[in-house]
Amino acid sequence: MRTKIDAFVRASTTLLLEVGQLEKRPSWSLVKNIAVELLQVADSVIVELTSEQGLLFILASSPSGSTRDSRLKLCFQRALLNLPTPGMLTLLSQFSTAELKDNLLPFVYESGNRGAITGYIAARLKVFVAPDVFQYFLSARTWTKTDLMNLTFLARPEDVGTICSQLDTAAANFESPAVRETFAEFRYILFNHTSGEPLLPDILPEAAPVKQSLPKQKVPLTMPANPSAKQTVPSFSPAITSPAELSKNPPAPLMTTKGKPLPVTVRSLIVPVIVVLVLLIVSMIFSTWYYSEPNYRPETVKSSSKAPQFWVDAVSQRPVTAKFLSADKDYRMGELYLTRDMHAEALKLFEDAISIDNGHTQAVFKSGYCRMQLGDKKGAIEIFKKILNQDPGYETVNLYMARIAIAANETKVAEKHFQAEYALKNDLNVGMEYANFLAKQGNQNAAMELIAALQERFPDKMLVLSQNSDAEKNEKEGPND
Amino acid sequence: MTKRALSLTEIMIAISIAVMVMVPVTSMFSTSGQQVQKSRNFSFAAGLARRISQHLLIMAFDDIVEVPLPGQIICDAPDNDFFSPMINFASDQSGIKRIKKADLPVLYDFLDLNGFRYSLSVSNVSFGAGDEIKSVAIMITWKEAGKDLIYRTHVYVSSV
Repeated sequence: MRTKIDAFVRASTTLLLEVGQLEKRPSWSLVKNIAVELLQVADSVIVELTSEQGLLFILASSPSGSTRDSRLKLCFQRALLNLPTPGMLTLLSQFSTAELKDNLLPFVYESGNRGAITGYIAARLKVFVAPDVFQYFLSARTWTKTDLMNLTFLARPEDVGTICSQLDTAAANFESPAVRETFAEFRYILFNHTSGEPLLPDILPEAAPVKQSLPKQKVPLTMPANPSAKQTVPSFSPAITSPAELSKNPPAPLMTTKGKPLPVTVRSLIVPVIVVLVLLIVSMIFSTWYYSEPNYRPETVKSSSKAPQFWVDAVSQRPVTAKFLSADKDYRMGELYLTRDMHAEALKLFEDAISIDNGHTQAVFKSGYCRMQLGDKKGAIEIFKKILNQDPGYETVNLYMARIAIAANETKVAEKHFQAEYALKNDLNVGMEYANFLAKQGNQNAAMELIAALQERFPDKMLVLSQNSDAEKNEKEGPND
Repeated sequence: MTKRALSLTEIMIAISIAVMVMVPVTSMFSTSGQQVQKSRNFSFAAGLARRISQHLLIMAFDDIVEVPLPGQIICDAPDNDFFSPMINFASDQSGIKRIKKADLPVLYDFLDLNGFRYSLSVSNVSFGAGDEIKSVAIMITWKEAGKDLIYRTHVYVSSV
C-alpha cells in the first residue's frame, strides 16, 4: 500500500509539472490508474497527500456523487488552513460550481483562517451565490474587511441591488449592532469597491484547526424558485433557522462576551510602551532632581583655611602646586625685565624659577632665549635641546636653534630646524624667514615655491624675498611670541 | 486565536535591553549635568578675576598687596576693594549690598557652597624712580566635584 501511495505521489508530482489540459497530460492515465487502485483506502490516502495531490486523487478516482463530496470536504479540511497555491486553484476549477458550492462554501461560516481562505478561493473561482444567502454569511461570524471584500466577488453584478435591499430588510431583524454594522459595511463595499481581484486574506497563526462538524443539511446557495416566498433556511448553527428566529436568538456577536479583543499588534505593543513611559517618567524625575539647585550646606570650606596640596588648572586641567606658583611668580618678573631688554636680570629670575620648580617649561625656554641673546649659544642650544626632548612640539625653539645654526654657519642644521619649525607652526613670519634663508643659500626655486605657498594662504599680503641679510637682523629681534 | 502571555525569559531579555539602553542615557544626563556645572563655575571664576583686574587698574598703586593662598573667601568677607561692597542698587548708601546671606542670598549660597576664594600674588619690579610695575597674578580657587580648581590670570600694573 505504501509503495502505491509513493507511486501516486511521484506520478502526481510529475503530472503537476506537465502542461496542458489535465486529462491530456502524459502522466494522467498513470495517476488515474493508481488512484483507482487506492480507492478502498481513499480517506486515509487523502489525509497523507498534499492539497494538490489530494485534489488530483479525487479528480482521478471519484466520479461525481456523495462519495466524491465527502472526500472533497475531507481534503478541504486540511487544505483550507493555508493559502491556496496557483496549482490548487487550477485543480479546483476542474470541479463543478455545484460541487464547490456544496463542499467548499460551507467553510465560509468558519471563523479564522479557514473561513477567510474559503472566501478568497470562492472569489477567485467566481462561485456566485444566491442574493439571500449573504445575510446568513454575514451574521454567522466576524468578518474582516478583506473577507468582506472577497465576499463581494460571490455576488453577481446584476444582484447587487437585490442583495442590498435584502440586507437592509434583514438588518432590522437583528438586534445586535455588530451584525448591523457588518451588513452596512458589506453594502458599502459592494457598492464602492474597485478592486478587480480578490485580496489575500490576513492569515493568523492558529494552534489547531477549528473543528466544526459539517452540517447535514445544505444551505440553498442558488436562486430559489419563488424569490418572494419566505423560506426557512437552515443554517449550520442549530439555533438559527429563520430570520425571525435569528432576531430572537442572534448569533454570537462580533464582540465576544468578554469584550472586544484587542488586535494582536496593539497587545504586543502595550508592554514596550508602558516600559518606555515608565523609563521616561523616571528620567524626568531624575533629571529634575539632578538639575535642581543643591541645598545649602553650611559645613563648607569656610573652616578649611589650609591650602590643598595642589589645584587643578581650570583651563589646562593640569595640576598646579604651590611650588609652581612660586616659580611662576619669578617667571613673570623675568618677563617684565625682558620687556625692557634686560636679559641678564631676566635670566637670573628665570633660573630662580627653575630652581624652585624645574618643571616650569616656559621659564626654561626663556632662560635659553636669554642665553642666546647674551651670546652663550652653546648654553642656549643645550637648553633648547632639553626642551625638545621633553616636548618636541614646543613652538619657537626650532626657530631659535635655526638662527643659532645660521650664526655658526651650519646651514644644514639650520635648514633642518627651519623645516621642523615650519611644520609645527605654519606661521607667515617663520615661513618668510625660511624662504629668505633658502634664497640666501642659493636655493631660489625652493624659496619661490615656499613664497608661492604662503601667498596662497595669505592672499591679502604682498610677499617678497628680502634682499638684506635677515639672519643678522632676526638675531637682534625680540621673541616672536 | 490563543492568548499568549510573556514568559519570564522574554521579560528578562526586555529588562536587560532596557537597562543597556538606559545606562548610557543616564550617564549622558550625568555627564552633561557635570559639564553645565563646570562651565558655570568657570565663567563665574573668570568674571571674578575680571572684576579684580579692573579694580586693580583703578585702585592706588600702593594698595595693591598680596593676598596669599589659600586666598580670601568672597562671601561674608570684611570690606575690601574688590567684593565688599558688591553692588549698590540705589543712588545713595542705602542701596549698598554686600555678599551676605541677608543681602544677596542666592549669590551667597552659590559662593559658599563652591568655596570661591580669591588670591593675589604680587611682585614689585622697579626700573627706576617712579618707574615701577607690579606683576599681579590673580587666582580664583573653588571646589568642584571634590577637586580644588584654580583659575589664573595676570595683570601688570604700572605706577605711572
